[in-house]
Amino acid sequence: MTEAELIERARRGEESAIRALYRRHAPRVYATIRRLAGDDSLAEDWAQEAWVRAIRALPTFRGDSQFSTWLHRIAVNSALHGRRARLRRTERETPLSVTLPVGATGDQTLLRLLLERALERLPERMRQVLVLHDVEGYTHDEIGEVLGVNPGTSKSQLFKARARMRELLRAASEPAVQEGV
Amino acid sequence: MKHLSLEALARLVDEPAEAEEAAHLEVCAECRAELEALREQTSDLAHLPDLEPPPDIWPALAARLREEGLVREPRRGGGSAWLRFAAALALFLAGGVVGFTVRGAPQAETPDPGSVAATIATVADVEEAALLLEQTRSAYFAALNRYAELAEPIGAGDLMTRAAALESILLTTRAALDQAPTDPVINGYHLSALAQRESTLRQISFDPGEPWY
Repeated sequence: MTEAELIERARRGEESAIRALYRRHAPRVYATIRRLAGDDSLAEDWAQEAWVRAIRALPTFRGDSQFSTWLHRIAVNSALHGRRARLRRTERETPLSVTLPVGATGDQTLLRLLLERALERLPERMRQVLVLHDVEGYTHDEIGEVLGVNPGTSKSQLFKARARMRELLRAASEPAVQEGV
Repeated sequence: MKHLSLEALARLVDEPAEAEEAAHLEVCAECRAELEALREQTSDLAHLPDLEPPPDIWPALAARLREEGLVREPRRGGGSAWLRFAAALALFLAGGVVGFTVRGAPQAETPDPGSVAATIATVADVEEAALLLEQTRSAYFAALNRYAELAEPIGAGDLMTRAAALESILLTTRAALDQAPTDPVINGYHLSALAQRESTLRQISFDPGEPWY
């Protein structure tokens, strides 16, 4: 079945069609939201909220853009404006440097884990800008629009965020720092 | 020598260096290495994969969508019932073809496609169609099992005929799945037919003393 047919059926409230759309797009939506949230429990809440908003708004989807692009915008907005009702898990966790294996950064899986964990540890606004620019490919103008800041502020936050990430990753790869020696 | 700050290097990942910065980078291996590490970090971030959401999101989401009236309650036999019905009929008829092709004529144990077709014409609603669908499905599998019993011992030629008929069934179920990819009944038929075809092909492959052709 084509995506357009699934969307049409989802508009009519057919659960199987909504579920098929969810299966198709959930990994992309969840990844964006998880990285913006920096926390599993928040990401679950916001992902659910994003999907509810998307299904509610389906009648307004005209097909001018790709469904995935339209849905992604809703996901980003849900994550940027979601209420932080729960205590962020990262605030209760051990520091990044003691939770990662020493000298294992060459492995792709571990590298990804390291990057994800480092993202969690960035201050919220820095993380949002870094994720939107370096992960999602937004321009500074687009970031300015969704965050309500000027593009210059977005640039400044990006460079700070990259530098902070670099410090976190460097610390995680230095055994003396990791073991607290 | 004063090194470039990390923030300045982070800017140079996607912006040109000013003259003073470029001059420093020419002579400072440490800053060049940091800049390279920042470029790698940026590239690695751009290639982060999608993440599989936790499995409990969908049930919670589905419940909420129902609460808000954004989905219709699924009905037994509703939605794609007619598609299921079409798939069941196609399977049934193909099953009849298998029996006819191998045995020379429809067997007593094989349900008569004609009578089923006549029954279809009297179906008035989705519930009735769903009931007939279930009866048809049961009849099809009973016929197929009976066929397997009667056909023992079976020759390679018969097996080839059966494999071809099952392939034809799979074409039908694949076409039905294109229309209704999430339909559990059609998925069940497809998997059953797939398993039977694989079993038949294995028998052909392992038939001792017979050439493969």
